[in-house]
Amino acid sequence: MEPRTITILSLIDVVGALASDSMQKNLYLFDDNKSNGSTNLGTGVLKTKVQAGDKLIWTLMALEPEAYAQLYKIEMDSTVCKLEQKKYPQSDVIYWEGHVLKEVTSTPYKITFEVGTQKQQIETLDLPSLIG
Amino acid sequence: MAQEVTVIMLVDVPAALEANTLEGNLYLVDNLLTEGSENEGTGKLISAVNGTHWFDGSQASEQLINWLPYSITSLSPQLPRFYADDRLDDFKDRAINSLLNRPGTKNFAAVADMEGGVAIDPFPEPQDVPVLTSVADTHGRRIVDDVPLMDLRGNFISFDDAVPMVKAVAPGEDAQVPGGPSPDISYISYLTPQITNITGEAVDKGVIYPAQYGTPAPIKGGWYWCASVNTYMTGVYSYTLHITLYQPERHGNEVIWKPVYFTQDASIKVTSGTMRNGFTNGGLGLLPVL
Repeated sequence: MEPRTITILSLIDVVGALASDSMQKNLYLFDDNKSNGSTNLGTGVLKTKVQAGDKLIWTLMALEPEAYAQLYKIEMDSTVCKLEQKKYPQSDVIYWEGHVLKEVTSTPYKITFEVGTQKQQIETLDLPSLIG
Repeated sequence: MAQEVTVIMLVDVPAALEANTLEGNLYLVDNLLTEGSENEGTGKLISAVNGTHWFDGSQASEQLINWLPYSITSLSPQLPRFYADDRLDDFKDRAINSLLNRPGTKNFAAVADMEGGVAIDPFPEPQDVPVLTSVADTHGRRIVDDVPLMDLRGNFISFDDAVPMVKAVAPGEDAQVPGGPSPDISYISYLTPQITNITGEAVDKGVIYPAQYGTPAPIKGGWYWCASVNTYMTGVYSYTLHITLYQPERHGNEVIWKPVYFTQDASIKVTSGTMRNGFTNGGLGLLPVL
């Protein structure tokens, strides 16, 4: 199969995350590669099926559209996926792009979100992953 | 307590269009997990709507449900819905400005300067000009024109670049080589799914009263569906969302978004408790003063 572009969307309950100081049960991850083998969609431990050469794009939305939320940081084994924070042209909206460098079996990664007017940073404790 | 239930509807649009079903390709999440909603993040969401009543049984507070649809394969939902249109306007302005400032158009350049058009951009090459798509109705009539095609990074896509990503409708037109690489249909930003109606048991029995409303919030694109809930009718009720997805197709040298219609069932679980003081959990009246 040819390399493809896969979008990974983080849907977060900002109010719930701030109230519990945790992303547990307040994060729903989705991608558009279920038909090729991604699993655990709609949970915080999404397993995205990837292959070498795939481009990954992480986007974000809040359950409460008025609440502030941002993808602050994504951390992963840099020999597996090269990550870069980017902005959409002529906007301040951030997305993260990853380039899968080699075939993987299972590579977990951590996302740190910035939420609320105090821009509090909360990271995922249960980790999503890339699977081969 | 008055609640505003937000139901986010996410659709894997290219997968749903490929499989011609929303089954397994649509996900619903609401903001009432802690209040008792079930099946979050699946297509079978049951939203908890916890109403209140007065001592005589009459409804004491208003509960509202909002439905907000999004495509996963799309630009970030944090961008305004009209981001692509705004970028197109900016592209046109810069193209005109560049044309005005070309050698031999001094008079026009003077006018541009008077109007503040001083930035000189290189005139766009043909391969950089975005393909302007149209949205069709059921009968193939074009109802919206000049919708620029964008990739998932917010860059315009020219017609030549769109050829391998958008399927041709006429046989023989497709650029795909048999046995060659398949098109990366998840490369382009898909149009947002639209809810066109809400029907079903909950509507028929007078439990919810849905309608489409206008909103100035740019992230909602001007319109959204909302329903008030009659919490006097307790129990579990199903409802049906009528959803339109848009399939991009190449017709000659044009790209047209064809509507494809689906339905999806979900439920609400309505309860009603006695009205109480939110601070003391006791009866209504004056707050205790210590």
